[in-house]
Amino acid sequence: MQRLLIYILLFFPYSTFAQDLSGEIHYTVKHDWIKKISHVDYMSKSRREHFEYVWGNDSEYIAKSILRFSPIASRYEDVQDQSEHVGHSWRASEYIIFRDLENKMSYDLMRMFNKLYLLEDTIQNPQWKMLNDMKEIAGHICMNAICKDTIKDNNIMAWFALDWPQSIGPDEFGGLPGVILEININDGAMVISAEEIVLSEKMEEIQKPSHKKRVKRITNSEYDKLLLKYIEECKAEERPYFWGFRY
Amino acid sequence: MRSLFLFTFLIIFNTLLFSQSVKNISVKGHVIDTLNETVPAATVMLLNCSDSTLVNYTTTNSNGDFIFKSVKNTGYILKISHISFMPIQKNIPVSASDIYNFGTIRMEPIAEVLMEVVIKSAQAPLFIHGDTVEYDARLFKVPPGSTVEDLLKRLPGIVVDDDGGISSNGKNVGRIYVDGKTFFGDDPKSVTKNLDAESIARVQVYDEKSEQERLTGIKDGSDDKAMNLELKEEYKKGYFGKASLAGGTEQRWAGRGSFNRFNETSQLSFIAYGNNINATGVNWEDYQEFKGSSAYSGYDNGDFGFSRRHYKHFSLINNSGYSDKGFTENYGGGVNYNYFKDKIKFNLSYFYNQSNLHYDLFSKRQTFLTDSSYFRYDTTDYNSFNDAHSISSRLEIEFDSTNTLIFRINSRISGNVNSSYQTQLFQTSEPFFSDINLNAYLDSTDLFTYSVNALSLYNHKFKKKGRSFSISGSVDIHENKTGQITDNLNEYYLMLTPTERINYLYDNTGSQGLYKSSLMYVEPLNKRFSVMSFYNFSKDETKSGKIVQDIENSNVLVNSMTNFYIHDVLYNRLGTSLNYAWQGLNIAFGGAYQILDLSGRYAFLESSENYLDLVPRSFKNFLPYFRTDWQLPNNMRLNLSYTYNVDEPEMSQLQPITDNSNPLYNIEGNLNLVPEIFHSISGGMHYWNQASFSSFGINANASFNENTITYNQNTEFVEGVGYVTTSKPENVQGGQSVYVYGWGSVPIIKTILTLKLWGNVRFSENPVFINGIENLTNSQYYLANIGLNLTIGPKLSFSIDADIHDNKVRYSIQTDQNQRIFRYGSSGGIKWQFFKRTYLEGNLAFEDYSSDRLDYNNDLLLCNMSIRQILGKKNQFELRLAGFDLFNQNIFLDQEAYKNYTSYSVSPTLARYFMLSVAYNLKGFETKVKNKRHW
Repeated sequence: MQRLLIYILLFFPYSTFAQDLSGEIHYTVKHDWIKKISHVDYMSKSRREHFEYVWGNDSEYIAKSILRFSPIASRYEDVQDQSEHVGHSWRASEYIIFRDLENKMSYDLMRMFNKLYLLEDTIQNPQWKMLNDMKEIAGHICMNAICKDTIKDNNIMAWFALDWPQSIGPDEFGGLPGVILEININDGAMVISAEEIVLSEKMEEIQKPSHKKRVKRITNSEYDKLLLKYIEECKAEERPYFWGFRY
Repeated sequence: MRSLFLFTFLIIFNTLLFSQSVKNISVKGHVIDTLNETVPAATVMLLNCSDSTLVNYTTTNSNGDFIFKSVKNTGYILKISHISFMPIQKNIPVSASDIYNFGTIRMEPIAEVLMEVVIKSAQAPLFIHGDTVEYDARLFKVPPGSTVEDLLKRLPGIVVDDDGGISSNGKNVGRIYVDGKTFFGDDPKSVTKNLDAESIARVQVYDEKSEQERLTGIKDGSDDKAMNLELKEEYKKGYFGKASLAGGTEQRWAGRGSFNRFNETSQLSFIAYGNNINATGVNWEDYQEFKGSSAYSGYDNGDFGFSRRHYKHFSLINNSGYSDKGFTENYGGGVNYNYFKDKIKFNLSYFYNQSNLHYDLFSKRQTFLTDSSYFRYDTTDYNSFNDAHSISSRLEIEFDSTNTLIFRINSRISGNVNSSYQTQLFQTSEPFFSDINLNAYLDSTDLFTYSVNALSLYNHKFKKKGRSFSISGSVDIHENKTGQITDNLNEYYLMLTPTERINYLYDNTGSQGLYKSSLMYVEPLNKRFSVMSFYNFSKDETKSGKIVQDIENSNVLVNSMTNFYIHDVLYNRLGTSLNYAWQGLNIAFGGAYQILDLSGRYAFLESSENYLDLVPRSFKNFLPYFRTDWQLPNNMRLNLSYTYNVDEPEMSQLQPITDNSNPLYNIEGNLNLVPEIFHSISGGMHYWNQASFSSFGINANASFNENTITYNQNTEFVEGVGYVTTSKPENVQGGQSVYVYGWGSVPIIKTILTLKLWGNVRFSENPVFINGIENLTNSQYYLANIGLNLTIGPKLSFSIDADIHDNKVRYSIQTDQNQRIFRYGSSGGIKWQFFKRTYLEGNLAFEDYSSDRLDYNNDLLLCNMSIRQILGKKNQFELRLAGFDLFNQNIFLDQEAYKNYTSYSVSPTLARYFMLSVAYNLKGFETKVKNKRHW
């Protein structure tokens, strides 16, 4: 046993991760728009199959995102410099998820439906159902848990670090006994996966998102209502809903 | 008995009473491992009993202790996880006391080999179900053709001895299951030696309960393990297909069929069609389905940099048989194969198609000269047959993330046999209408062509982000052979010596060899700036030979038209641009230096010994370049670009000879032509509002030309012949056009009523010299279209449209010939699912064509209507009765005003017919009304 513990300490240098760390986690976000379309059940099946047949081999694109964290706050957003090939740049969307962990408040700045919204409310974590599988992500042994987003009709699997008991994660996800290092939505339609972890010696101050432009302030329930209304309209128009907001 | 009841009741009552009194409890415990060492930093979770959702969590302290204070006394599952131990779960019942103490909880370590080899090395997830550990066997690579035994030898913790006996972590594996079932009896070896490793998805190892243990529940201490091999899910594979057959009045018929088979790594498809309804056998959606995953590949362009020269997309289907005039009969079919695995994409396609076209065309044309004009009435009887075999193949290999190679080859053999008989009646308008002459022209051509185009393209990305190098090379070989007979009979009415006949036999050959190569290098300067540099080389050698014999004159060679030419066009271009790219703003500006060399040789016949050189000419140009696009945060995009292009004259324009096979229309060549130069500026804006579903966009393009090559015309009246026109390509100054296109879509009532608008405006000014005097033809063209879509529920939708085309043409030499061509139309459509699987579809369109100048006015009212019924359990059958052009008015109409003429043409085409069709779809037909198509 002793040997195993030494071994673990040697090979898993973060095995004694504390709860009060500061730093950054760099994620890659893999989108598969064919898998996203396959999940839009109100669009005609033959049309979805047509897309899969023609585009199925060429349906992925990869973006990068970053989670900055301290013991009292976390901030998740897209990396501005997305381009792998220098020469063409796409604008990173305005989407900043801020969590005030001390006061359990969320403060999210996001552009949806051509408007800038500020979602300010208490943190609402999903109802995680714990599973039993283990795998390594970015040097950490993780365990999985699943939940269901009933509004977007998404099935979500999270992998959280068993050796790093900080309850934070990418995007709107959190509330697990460890840092979430991977999120897999709808069986690979979108996968957010940690690539690199950079820890800081001192406690970092995490900035609340600021905005120069006018924003519309909303609460969690208003946000849900907005999404539901939009998804209903998309159903009537037989358009995929996922181009209006984050998947 | 009664006392037992009472006793039970008391216990239950007591428990209920007690548990109700204990509202909140504490849960505690102490975690150790199998060596009795404490386990710190383990994750301890309280889960909801019913659905395992997480309620609360904590970690064990340095002494291995944990405690949940003051949690609701509702019963839980306690779960403890640690990176080095098998997770365990324990039940927490509703507690009778306010502390529920687990005492000591012992955790079993995860085998070191699983942790190190499976999780760390293979990056494979470990799936734990109770005491069963399983992992993804696909991550352990074995060579193709290996057996399960070969696979097991590679798996961590598993040892296969010489006899084929298997043990897992030192314990004997007594039994092997496949998908939970025994396989070929009980001998594990029969499985491991017979089953293909490729078919295995997961390997699970767990404690095997012996028969005795299963029956009695008493362990017999055998400690054997069992292994379950989970097979891969059936490969993603399947097929789909469609077939339809239709027959109608007026001997109309149509048929088509397609079949596709696919699996995880390949797609194979067949398609065939035939019809005589002037329709293409294959529409874009059919074509995409036929080509499958290679539908959008094949657009590789090896011409790096910013030149638009010589990029031609190869279309597998040469001539699909669509015609808006006359009547066609079309047949075609093809096969497509796609293969894709790991880093290889391969495509091979073959297509054959043929089309027979027959039409009769009547046209009236007025041609303006400097101070007069004349009319020409043409009647044409045209027949053609063309067919083509096309083969295309493409291979893309991504060696690794930094090296990609593409190889593509397209080739085609095609034939075209056509004949036309045309009579042209020339008439003067002044001083009074009178016929001048009648020219009868018979042309019979037999053309055979073959072409091969091969391209290879290699790209390397350097370690430094953004640095890349590309190289391409391509060869285009094209050959054609034409046999042609022209017979021209000119009857002159104003004199008594009536006819002149020219009857020629042509034997033409042509060949082209185009060799190109390009290099490109991109160097990033920093995160925002980079420099792109490129070099283009292109050598084009064209040969053309004409042997013309005079049939009237015992096949003697026509010396003035017999010749053999070789032309060489050589491009060398070196360019660079500075690029800025940051946060959705992209700007590139740069320039290229280009040297264009034209040279050539000619002789009377290809076999001649003495070739004469054409004077070699060289043109040096600096080509500036600018391009920007900007993505604003609110889904608006803007772009603006400027390009400078140099186009060399075509070879046929350069030959200093006269084609006089039609004595009324001679075409001369011009050795002195210089390249045309185009300045092209384009810009655009697109906006899309997700919330309101509205969108609009506008694009504009302006082009200013220098040294425009135009066919100047000299027309003179020759006594005894008629109006004789000699046309010669020459460089003229001026020539410009502006084109603006806009569209918008706005929902008036969201999801129900949508307004769609689009339109364009085109201004152009084309110089042409008529009898030595410059004429500027100024054309203003306006098109506006407005439409409404109304969707009433999922089963009924309407659409209405109206459009106006207005073309004003002004001529500088004869302003009184200025004119206006006007056309307007409107249409309405309905889609109605009026019974379960019964649909009505129809449209009604009205078009008005008129021209004051040529004195005609034509109204068309076109109506199509169909009713269809979907049948079959899985909606596989469709029966459709359709009526086309119910008012029997359809006719081809065209009106045009250009340079120094205005014309209109009429040709009979498919009018009213009825058709009954039966269609079968393996996957079943869509039963929804397709009224929403956004993308």
